[in-house]
Amino acid sequence: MPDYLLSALALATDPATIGATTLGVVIGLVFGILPGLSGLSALAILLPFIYGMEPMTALGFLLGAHAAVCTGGSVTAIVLGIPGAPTNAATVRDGFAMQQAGRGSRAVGAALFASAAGGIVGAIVLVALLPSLRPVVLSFGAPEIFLLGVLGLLWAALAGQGPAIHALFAAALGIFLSTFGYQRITGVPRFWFEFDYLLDGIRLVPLVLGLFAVPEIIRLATARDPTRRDHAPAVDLVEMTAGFLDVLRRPLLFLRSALIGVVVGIVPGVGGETAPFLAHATARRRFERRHGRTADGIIEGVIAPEASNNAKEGGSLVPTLALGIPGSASMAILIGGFLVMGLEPGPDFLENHLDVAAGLGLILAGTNLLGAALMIPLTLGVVRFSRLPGRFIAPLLLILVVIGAYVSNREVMDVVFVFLFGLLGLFMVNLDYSRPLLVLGFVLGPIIETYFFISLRAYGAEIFHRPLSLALMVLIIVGAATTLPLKRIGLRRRDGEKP
Amino acid sequence: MRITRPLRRIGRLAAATLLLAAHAHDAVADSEALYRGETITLVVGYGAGGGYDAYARYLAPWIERRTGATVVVENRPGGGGLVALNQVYDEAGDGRTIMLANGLAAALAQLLQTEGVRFDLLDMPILGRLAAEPSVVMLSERSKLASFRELVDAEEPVKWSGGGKTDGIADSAAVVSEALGIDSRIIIGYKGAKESALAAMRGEVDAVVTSVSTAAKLSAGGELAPVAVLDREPSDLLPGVPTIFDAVAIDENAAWWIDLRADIARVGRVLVTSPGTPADRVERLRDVIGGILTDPAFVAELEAAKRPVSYLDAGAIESLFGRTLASLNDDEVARVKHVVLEKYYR
Repeated sequence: MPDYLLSALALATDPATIGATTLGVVIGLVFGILPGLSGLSALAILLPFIYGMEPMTALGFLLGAHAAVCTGGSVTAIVLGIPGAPTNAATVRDGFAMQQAGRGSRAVGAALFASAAGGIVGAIVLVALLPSLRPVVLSFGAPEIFLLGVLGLLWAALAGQGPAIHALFAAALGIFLSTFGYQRITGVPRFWFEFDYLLDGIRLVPLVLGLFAVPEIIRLATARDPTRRDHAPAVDLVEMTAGFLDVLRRPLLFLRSALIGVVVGIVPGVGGETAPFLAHATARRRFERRHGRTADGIIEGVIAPEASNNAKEGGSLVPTLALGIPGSASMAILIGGFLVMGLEPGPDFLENHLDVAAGLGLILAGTNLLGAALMIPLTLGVVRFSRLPGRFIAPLLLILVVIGAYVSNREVMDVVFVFLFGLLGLFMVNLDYSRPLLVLGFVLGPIIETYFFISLRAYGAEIFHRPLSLALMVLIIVGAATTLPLKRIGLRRRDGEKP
Repeated sequence: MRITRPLRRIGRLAAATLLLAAHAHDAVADSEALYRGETITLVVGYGAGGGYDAYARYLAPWIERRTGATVVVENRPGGGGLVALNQVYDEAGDGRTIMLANGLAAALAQLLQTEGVRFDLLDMPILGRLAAEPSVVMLSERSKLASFRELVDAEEPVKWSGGGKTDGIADSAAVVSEALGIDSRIIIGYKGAKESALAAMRGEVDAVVTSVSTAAKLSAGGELAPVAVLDREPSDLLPGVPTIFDAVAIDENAAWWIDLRADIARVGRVLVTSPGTPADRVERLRDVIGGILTDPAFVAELEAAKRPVSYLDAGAIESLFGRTLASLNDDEVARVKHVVLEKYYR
């Protein structure tokens, strides 16, 4: 074993570090369960607490909290249909459908196992790539970022629920909503109506909370049956184990999804939110092609986003550590944490502190395992909560949603926008438009716009000389060409099923 | 009796001196009691985790210790820090809200009359500058241009990266291009200084302007080389890197542009408060801030966290504003707007 790995092991297994990391994981899980509180808000809230800690202890604490959030968020996405964090939005479609079909425990089991194992894959890739990180990051340019954005959106739209035209419309609406506020290139604010709040555009957290939580709260509050939720059976450990096995039986699906997470995480600029959607869309495409039909509530649709969700953290640590360039907004805060510790990620960081970097990889792997294990008892609580009568759950959820929306930015307008988007969410549910696709369009809109512009200005026709760009273009064309006919078949099947 | 007269005089003098001293002591005590038990909000126009946030969090306990007030750091991200500055500008001037502002961005936005700007820095009491650093031109190792000389003489358009037109990166590139007559094309849209630098590292652009501390870090990787400091003095952080004045011949027009830009950059991370704050409160805050920022213990604490401190008092900042914001005539403002906002984006 190389020296730096031994030293990393010593750093990562220091009792204080293990203690702080465990505490971080618990906090992260709670943040994940509470709707609206994302990994980003966890880091932002916890950052002031690290002053005075040892570097590795502090970084373990932050990383533990951040990595555990999407594990916690998967359970609420499945059990309540409300993504605990924006990255869990892709899990809602199949996860919640499984829950409603009485297979929630199995979905949770699969989600937790996929999360843990995906996180470990991310950590392994990170540690393996450490000595040669820089060339990997530098091989992605603006054209590749732009094309990855297009690929993500197109694939997800084509694999999305409902008629193709609905899917494309939902994605387009997401892109439209993303155009509010300062335009990144021109600096000119769009659609801000002389209203300061809109200068920075629409925020992701109120959008996700509004779209997913508000319709669910209204549904719960207006359900006639006071003991509604008979379809929410108690946690069944046998079923959960079956969920674990579901992941093991689909090693290719799992690995592909985890690697999608890692790659999307590595590319600075694409943003981690894209990974689960891309993995989910890929999994659904494969499922539809193999079975020649489309259906909601497939286990593949839970495993894929959750595996990629946790794997992307390993990926996004790559540019953070290698170049000091954050792979996501959360990583920007983590860099702040490094600086507080007097450490500076960047070119010479890996030369001087390779052990710290590898130690973080090990901690990342550990937190993912720990997060999933601790989540099992917490799931009991979430499920017990979900079995309460709707008229009790709805107001409690409403309180949590309002707090969650407010805490991220301490901005009252965020709460107002939750309800505006809640209205939109209601319409979308009733008219069968995909809400995850809207979120994806919202996340990718600015990326596609900005990097398309940069690609044209910086490369022009040279884009076609870049092998990585060409490969992505081929994927886009092939994806569209092979999915569109399939989509039509799928629709016909689906239509046929309806009475 | 004769003997007592001088004594009486001395006695009166002593009494007067004592009275004066006591009065002065009272005044000092009054001033020191000004903030005791109150709450001061220290506003940061960016989210948690960034440089401004870190500086504010280091500063807050020091202000608490020296004033007896409770200091709350409040992150109000939005509009690149301009939204928070608008809010602090609008607030009642009771001296209980102070802001650690990005003076460079704020001054540029005001000079260029950016949409959404409601504040006027010339009306806001300045409390002192925490830190500022000059910028430096970094050349990509993957570019065909091998030196600053070649960059200046390039026949094909030189590509530069930046975040937004007035982010301190792209506007510097525009000013350097204008000063030296470089045919440039500035490509913006990158997220912040680091991604702009990454674009140069991977050869997407030829050059990028960064702060000297960022340059010192990034040049260690070998993909970027610092070639010219945009100031009259070289930087200790980049030994051996010439200033732009030493690197190439600079005429009067070029010097005007570079000095203007360097003066705006010197405003740096600056503490301000709301207009209308009573003079005694402004004075007290200036004393406290000046005392902290020149305290070797504070400077050492921040240096250890790789956050350099370079204090400048309110008067010096006001004279910087006098040379920039307050002195440009309409024609000059129009020229600056054209160069920074339009000329290199066609």
